[in-house]
Amino acid sequence: MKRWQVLIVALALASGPFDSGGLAPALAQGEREAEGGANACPVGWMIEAARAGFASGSPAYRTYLAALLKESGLTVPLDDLVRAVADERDPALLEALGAALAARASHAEDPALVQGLLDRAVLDGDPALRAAAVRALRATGSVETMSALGGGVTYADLARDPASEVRAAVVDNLVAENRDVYGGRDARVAAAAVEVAAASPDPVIAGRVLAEISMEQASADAVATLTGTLVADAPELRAGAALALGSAPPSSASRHALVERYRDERDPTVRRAILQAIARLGQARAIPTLRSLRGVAPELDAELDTWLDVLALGLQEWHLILREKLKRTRGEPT
Amino acid sequence: MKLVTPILIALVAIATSAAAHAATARGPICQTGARVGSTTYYSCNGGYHGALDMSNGTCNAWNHRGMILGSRYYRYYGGCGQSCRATSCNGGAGNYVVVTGASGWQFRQLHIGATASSKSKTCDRCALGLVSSTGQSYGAHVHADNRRYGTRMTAWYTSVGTTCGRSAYCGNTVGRPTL
Repeated sequence: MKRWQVLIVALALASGPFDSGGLAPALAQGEREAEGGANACPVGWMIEAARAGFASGSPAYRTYLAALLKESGLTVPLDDLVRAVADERDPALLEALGAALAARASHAEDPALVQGLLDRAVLDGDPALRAAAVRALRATGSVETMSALGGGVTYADLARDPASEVRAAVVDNLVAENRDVYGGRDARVAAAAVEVAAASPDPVIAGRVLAEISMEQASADAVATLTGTLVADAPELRAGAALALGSAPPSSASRHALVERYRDERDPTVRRAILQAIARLGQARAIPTLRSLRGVAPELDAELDTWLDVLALGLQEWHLILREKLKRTRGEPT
Repeated sequence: MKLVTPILIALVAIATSAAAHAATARGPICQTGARVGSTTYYSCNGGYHGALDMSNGTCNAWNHRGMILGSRYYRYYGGCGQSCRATSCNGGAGNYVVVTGASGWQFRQLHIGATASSKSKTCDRCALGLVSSTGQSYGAHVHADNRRYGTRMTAWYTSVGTTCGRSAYCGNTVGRPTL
């Protein structure tokens, strides 16, 4: 049997019928689960087979292997998996094994299982491995997990990492968590994004985390912080704060702050972000506000008119409005 | 010039993040005898249903698990305890959970029997309670639907060929709901 065939068999066995003798939380009276942990596969054998696959496979094959490893995390012996995550030195494999452990922690509702992964994200001397440990937590409810563990490690801490790949992994995690786990609606992820933006020494990263995360459930405190960030020194941060306010709960205060910032702002890209934020906050009702800004920055009046045209369509969902705007910006037929 | 790229990236990313996408739904019961009993029509030949009903013929005995592959936030609506007979609790939904996606999409699991596991939480296919019959439910089962602005959609399970009699075991994919 070839090595890849061995791997497929190993992973298929490991990810097959699961239950969960030891991993389920305490079962209430009457709850039953299937018998089946006997299919658990020795982790070491599985990892070495996966290592060979990661080294030789195509990107698609690596993605497939990572998905199989993640699923197998629900059934393999827990101690072996924890040890493998602690010992692994290959970043790609650490990310895959860490994702398997994080999936198991999420399934078992046991945040403590990922403590070792968080330790590696903070303490490992190799920035590639720290970044891999962070990526392993992607789309797992990691903000809630870190909070449940007492806040010893937070994304704001990780955003101060000297390595840019770790900081980028932080932003990617928050964006994925916001989108995939919470459908863009979670106050904790919104707060974490605001904290990361404040903590990050890198204004591009800070601006990106604000720009790409929905603030739909942001608290009043988070919105106030975003409003204050509109006057930050870095234009990237000002633009990110404007876009974030656009997705926050609408209020006359944030609308007023955006309008005032548009009048005082000198950076055209920040002004573009502000126009988008005003359009998103008010949608069709933003038309009078946008009209009032015509002439403030003549070089952006064409952009402003495009927004007016799109909002006049009366579309009722932001992603449809944004799609129409992007089509016009790109000169595509409408 | 240096800001143009990040802003354009942000615009595209926002467009992407706002768009609904397909998730994967596994069966809710970790027992190989679990089966799909109703799909678009009750028992596949009755009145309109527009959802999946799945059971293993027991009541308040087996875990009712979250169905979405990967960690999701399950918002729990309770107050109906456990029951093996139909009630009107929560408008007929009984105890239920909702996973909220983009653009008005939701995935719901209904008729949960409440246990200590029954609460709002973020998890990957964890126990949400028991397979029970709270709400307007005749015979303990798991009702799963994928709605957009309150309208039940059916392609999420027809697209993977799920029909009556198909396994509803937790290792088996029963649908690809939009979220």
